[in-house]
Amino acid sequence: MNFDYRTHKPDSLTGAILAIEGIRDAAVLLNGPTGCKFYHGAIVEGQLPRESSYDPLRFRDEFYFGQPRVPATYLDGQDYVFGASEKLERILPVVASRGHSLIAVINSPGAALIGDDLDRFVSSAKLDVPCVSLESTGYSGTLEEGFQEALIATLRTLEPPCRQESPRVVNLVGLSIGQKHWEGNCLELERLLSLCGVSVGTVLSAGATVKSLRDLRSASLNVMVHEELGDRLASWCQGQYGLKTLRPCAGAPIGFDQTEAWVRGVCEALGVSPEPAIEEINRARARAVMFIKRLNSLTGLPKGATFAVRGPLSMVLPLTRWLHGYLGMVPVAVDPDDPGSPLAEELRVTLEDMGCGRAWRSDSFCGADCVLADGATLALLEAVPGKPEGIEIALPSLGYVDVVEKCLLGARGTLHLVEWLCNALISR
Amino acid sequence: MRIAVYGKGGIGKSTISANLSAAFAERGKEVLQVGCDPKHDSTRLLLGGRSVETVLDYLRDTPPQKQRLRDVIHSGYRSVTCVEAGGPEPGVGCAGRGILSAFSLLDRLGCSWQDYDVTLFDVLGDVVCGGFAVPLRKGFAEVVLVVTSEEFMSIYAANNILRGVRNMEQGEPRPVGLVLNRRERDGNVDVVRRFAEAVNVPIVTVVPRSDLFREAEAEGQTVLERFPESGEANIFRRLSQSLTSCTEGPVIPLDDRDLEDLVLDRKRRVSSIAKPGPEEVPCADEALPGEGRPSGDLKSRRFLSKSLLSREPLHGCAFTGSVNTLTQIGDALTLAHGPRSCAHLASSTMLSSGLGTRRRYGTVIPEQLSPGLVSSEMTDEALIHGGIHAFREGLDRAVRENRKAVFVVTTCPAGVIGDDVDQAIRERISPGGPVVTRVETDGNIQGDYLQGVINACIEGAACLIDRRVEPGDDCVNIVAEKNIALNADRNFAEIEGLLKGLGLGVNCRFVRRTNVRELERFLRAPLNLLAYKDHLGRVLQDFLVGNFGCAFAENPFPSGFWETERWLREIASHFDRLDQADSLLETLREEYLREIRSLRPHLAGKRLMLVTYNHDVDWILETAFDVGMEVVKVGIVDYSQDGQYRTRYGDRIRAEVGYNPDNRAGDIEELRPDLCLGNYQSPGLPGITHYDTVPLCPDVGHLGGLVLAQRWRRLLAAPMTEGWRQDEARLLGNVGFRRGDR
Repeated sequence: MNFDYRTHKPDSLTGAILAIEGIRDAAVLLNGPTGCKFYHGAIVEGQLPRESSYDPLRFRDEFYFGQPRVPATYLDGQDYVFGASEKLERILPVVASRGHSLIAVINSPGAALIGDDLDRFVSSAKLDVPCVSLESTGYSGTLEEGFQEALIATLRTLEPPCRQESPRVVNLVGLSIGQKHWEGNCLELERLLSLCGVSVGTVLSAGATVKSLRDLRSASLNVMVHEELGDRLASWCQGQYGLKTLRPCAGAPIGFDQTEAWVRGVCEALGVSPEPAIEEINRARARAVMFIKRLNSLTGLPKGATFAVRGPLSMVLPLTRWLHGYLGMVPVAVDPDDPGSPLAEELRVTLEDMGCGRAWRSDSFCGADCVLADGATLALLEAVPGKPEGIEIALPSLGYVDVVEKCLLGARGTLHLVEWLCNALISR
Repeated sequence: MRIAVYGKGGIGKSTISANLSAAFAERGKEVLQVGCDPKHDSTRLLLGGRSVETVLDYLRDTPPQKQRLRDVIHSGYRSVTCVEAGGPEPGVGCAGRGILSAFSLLDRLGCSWQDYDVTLFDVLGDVVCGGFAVPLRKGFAEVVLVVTSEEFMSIYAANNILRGVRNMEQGEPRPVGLVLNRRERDGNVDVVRRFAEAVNVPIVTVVPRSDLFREAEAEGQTVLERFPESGEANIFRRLSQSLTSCTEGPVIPLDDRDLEDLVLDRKRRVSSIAKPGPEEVPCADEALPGEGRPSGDLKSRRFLSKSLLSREPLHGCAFTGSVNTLTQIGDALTLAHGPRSCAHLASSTMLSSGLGTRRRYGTVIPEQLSPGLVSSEMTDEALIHGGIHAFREGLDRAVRENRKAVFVVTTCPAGVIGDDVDQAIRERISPGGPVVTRVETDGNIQGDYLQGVINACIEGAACLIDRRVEPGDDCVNIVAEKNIALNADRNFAEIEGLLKGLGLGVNCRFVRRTNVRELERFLRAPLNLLAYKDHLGRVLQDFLVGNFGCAFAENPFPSGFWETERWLREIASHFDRLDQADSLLETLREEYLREIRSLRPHLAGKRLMLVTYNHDVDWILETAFDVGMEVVKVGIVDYSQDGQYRTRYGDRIRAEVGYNPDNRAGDIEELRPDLCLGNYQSPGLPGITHYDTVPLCPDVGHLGGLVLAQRWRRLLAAPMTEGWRQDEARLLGNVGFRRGDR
């Protein structure tokens, strides 16, 4: 049996940490052992760097263990018996002194069992900075659940005040620093909307600030980007604040048609013209066509080339449609890592309609010319004879360092995909 | 005989336990009483009212290497051995986990229940979690006594305890009896009799309310000691002889509604009235038979990581260390019992190494990119109600994979709730199936990452070694490679090449990229080679020498020519192949000297400063001296490393062990080195020298250090301060990498 990434996906603990650490001026304080700290400290600093040095000597302070992020109470066997009271009392002021605007105290799975009263420590520390305490993020819950519950707890703590609604301000929902190219994705969506006179108030939560979260209610809409990371959160905001949710299309804005539909949906809801963004998307279409046509004239590709894709359904669905409908490629394996998503049936039917029903939830990637997946999946394929070309669309990363911000969403994201696909296919 | 005494808090368990222990002792039995209550007063009456240090306090306050069994056992009345497990303050921590930890320490220190004729566990209150249920596990209590009074809450607690007894039954039901400890002279005994009838458990004795108990306790004594002629004392003497009367039929605990009906006599059960009283219970002389946990299963010695020995904060967890080691056994499968996040964190550590190795060396390591690992995926429900069901399902899945071996490792949550995975494994073992082996981890409860590596090697991989295999004469084993080091396979290839030059092959890598067959045939190699002679290497060497009589080379993997020559000669000498070594060394020496000659003109006379976590730096110093550099300072930083600085260049260098890295800037200003080496490039140091990094795990082989020197040569030709550093100072200042704002 091969390593099954579906059963080894990060769970709700990681989701909660990514949600909080995605807020630029917030910090997670982990009440847990260093075994739960090191991975999270590394992944959040890799995805949203705050420091330019890896030197652990710079972060020698107690609780940090050579990392700048996710300080921890380093629970050990004694603490499981006697509780971690003394460490919790000491760590809170240390973390608060770092100038964060929000601290989230999160119990590791083991710590959640010993019942330290996090609220008591938080209140007795009398800190100026707002603190969220998450006694348990759940056991074997999904990353998406942990992500959204942590943000809901954060909003409960911050209590965003009711503000004058700005008619042309929206929030983006369902973006995490755990996503590949999250920063470029945010910038691209913001760019397209700004062309139409629409600005983004806050993002839940990748790259947000505590101030922007407090201003959450000045937006007139929450706009869904990745359903799996935003559905519960958006519903909560609607129930709590009356903040309506717009779902412009099924899945994220990937591919030109889907991006256009997403922009049109937002503009229509706000009563503004989408034309400036449509023009921009058309310019991208024209550039894409030029390169696709050159590839096609030489090789007949990309039409008929086969592909496999693995990732969240909010990406896999639009990707599959675009690769098939726009580029003429044929799916051989479509393996969503959240097949319980409401979008699953739509994808399954889509594949049936394409005459490619066998590709649904197949993990047989070897027959594909090109595989769009996470880095670990792509690394494994390297040992396969006649290995497919890989395009990394999710973490973990193969390690390529992206200095220039790239994206997968929007017009620019689609151009990036065209570029990577042309290079992948021409080398076969 | 091992007896667990349970009952509601304050019901008199400790008084009854102590008096019963005294009664056994009077009969000449060797008795051990273990108090399993955080308030640690179980044995007070046997110790003249004295309070003793608890096992858990001792565990917390005493370094592992200084822990001794004699410090936690105390001799009381008639030489009854007394132990108090102890526990946390009320309202904090996990007392159940405390019992597990206390038993684990007693186990490790060599306290065997089998050394005693009678062992009594005096256990707090209801069986509320897995920790408190430990004395009910197979191998611990053979007889369960439940103390109750006539009061409803006491009977309610007794019923809960019986539920625990039933849930923990494994095979034959064990004897259970009720002890009625009367709280009121005219209380309603019938209610207890009805209860006893209904749950199919006899009342084995009735202890009357008596001032003698209070008077004896006031003097810190049992009634057997203070009032040996009293009727009360005789009750316990009789009880010590009558425990065979406990029922061996299945106990039938009641649901809450039935219990309430019964106690309030809403549905009188006529048959219960006829239940014989305790006075009619027959006596018996001897202890009950029971299947004991064989003392041979108890480890008399633990091999501990440096962090545990030094009582440092734990780096990483034993679970991850074990998983990362066991998944190197390619045809085995590892079952991680715990929530999915734990399996994810462990697999991410492996993935990180696997992806890094692929990136740097182009080597694909399937054991790291696609490890044989499954999770029991414990949910919230499992955490509350016990995870053994999830474990059994996971184990069944693992066994169905038809691997040659299955390893079981547990996480912190599984350890805290005290799932008895050992018993579940015993239930699932079947002839012809894979070997199923549990490796103790419990997340980081058993220790840090390195402790997990140690446990995986000793309790996991070593279990596969076939002692019948005879040694050959042309191969060696490699021991204690570092699985997370990116250059592990590159170094192995270098070593394999050197060994090939001596006509030797590698029999087994213990434990990296190996399989069950190779581990079974581990003893085929007559010589074992340590990759690193650090703490892990030394521990594994001690273990393999002590348990298998293995022979080890003195020297670990070499880096630099001097070490390579010494290493090759030692191995060649062992196999009587010195001629081959001479021939090989001649070739290597020529290559080494050629490189040195090409580097000397560029590096001779240059001043070198080294600040590092590495405790073995001779491979760097040899290179520096051979190319003619002057070593002006060596600073050894203590940061979770081996702790055994050693050098053969003591007369040629200024070394400062325990170096404070905050002194770097001042030392650089004073010593003015041309080149300053460290494990990381640190910001904020004076721009008057060149800086470079050295790896924590060196490249091995005769050219290991020269790879660095070739870089130094290029580095010294580069500008002292690069342009981007000026941009950093100008544009970023102290704000580091902060970007954007939304």
